[in-house]
Amino acid sequence: MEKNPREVSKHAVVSGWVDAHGDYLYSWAYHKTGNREVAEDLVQEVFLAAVKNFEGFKEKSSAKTWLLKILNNKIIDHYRKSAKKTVHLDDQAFQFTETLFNAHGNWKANGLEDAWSNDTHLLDDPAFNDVMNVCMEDLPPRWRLAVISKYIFDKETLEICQELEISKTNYWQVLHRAKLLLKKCLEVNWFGAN
Amino acid sequence: MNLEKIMTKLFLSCKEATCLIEKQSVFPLTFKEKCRLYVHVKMCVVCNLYRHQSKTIEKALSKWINSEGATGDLLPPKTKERIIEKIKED
Repeated sequence: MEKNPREVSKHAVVSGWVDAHGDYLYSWAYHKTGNREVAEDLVQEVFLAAVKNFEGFKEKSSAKTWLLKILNNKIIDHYRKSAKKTVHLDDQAFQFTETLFNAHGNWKANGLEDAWSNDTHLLDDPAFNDVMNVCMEDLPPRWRLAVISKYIFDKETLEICQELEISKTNYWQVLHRAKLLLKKCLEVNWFGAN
Repeated sequence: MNLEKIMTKLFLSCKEATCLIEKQSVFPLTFKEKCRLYVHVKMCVVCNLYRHQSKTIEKALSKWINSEGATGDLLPPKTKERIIEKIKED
């Protein structure tokens, strides 16, 4: 098929971006999804979307920023799809968080309550980030979506709720359960192990 | 009715209190919620610590999201070629 010069240059520019930004986008996607195949597919989708919506690219923003924005939307879509398929995992995780409390709904002590406050350099430790990886993997997809969307979208809470198609009551309840699970996971894999 | 049950009725259970702590991070609490949470956290060491832990987790999340992952996670060259081919076909 013959292509007009503008078309040719558009394809050439985006192909150049694959070389220039492919690794960065892949690394980002792999880190957020924990799955190489998924990350490769998402990156491919990003570049195909970039060709399709090339007119939406404004020269004044950097290509990297623009591509990352597309990628983040793809990541959210990916989570949204897997969240629909994994509702049963929500129930399991919910039941698990219930076991942290006694019959009155008060904490069952675990002896690790103080460990947190002693660790002031926690976030500077690269090994801690690895443990975060494990704990994020453990969250049911819908919960993971709820906790990360705040940082990915950089939007107001109400907008995030719309984005996730959940009510605001549901949003903070999911946040709560996700935090409980993260807390427990960090205690087992970090504070308990150290 | 035992003491734990009475206190829980008046000043929330730990489950309810920690849920309100999370609510507070995204929405304003009602006056009644604020008062009950205030008293609960004053009395309950573990929930007071939870508030601190929750903030630490927030920071950890933000850091985790913004880190690019381990260096050396490169897009395999074959995939790069495949994508470039697909772009040409498009």
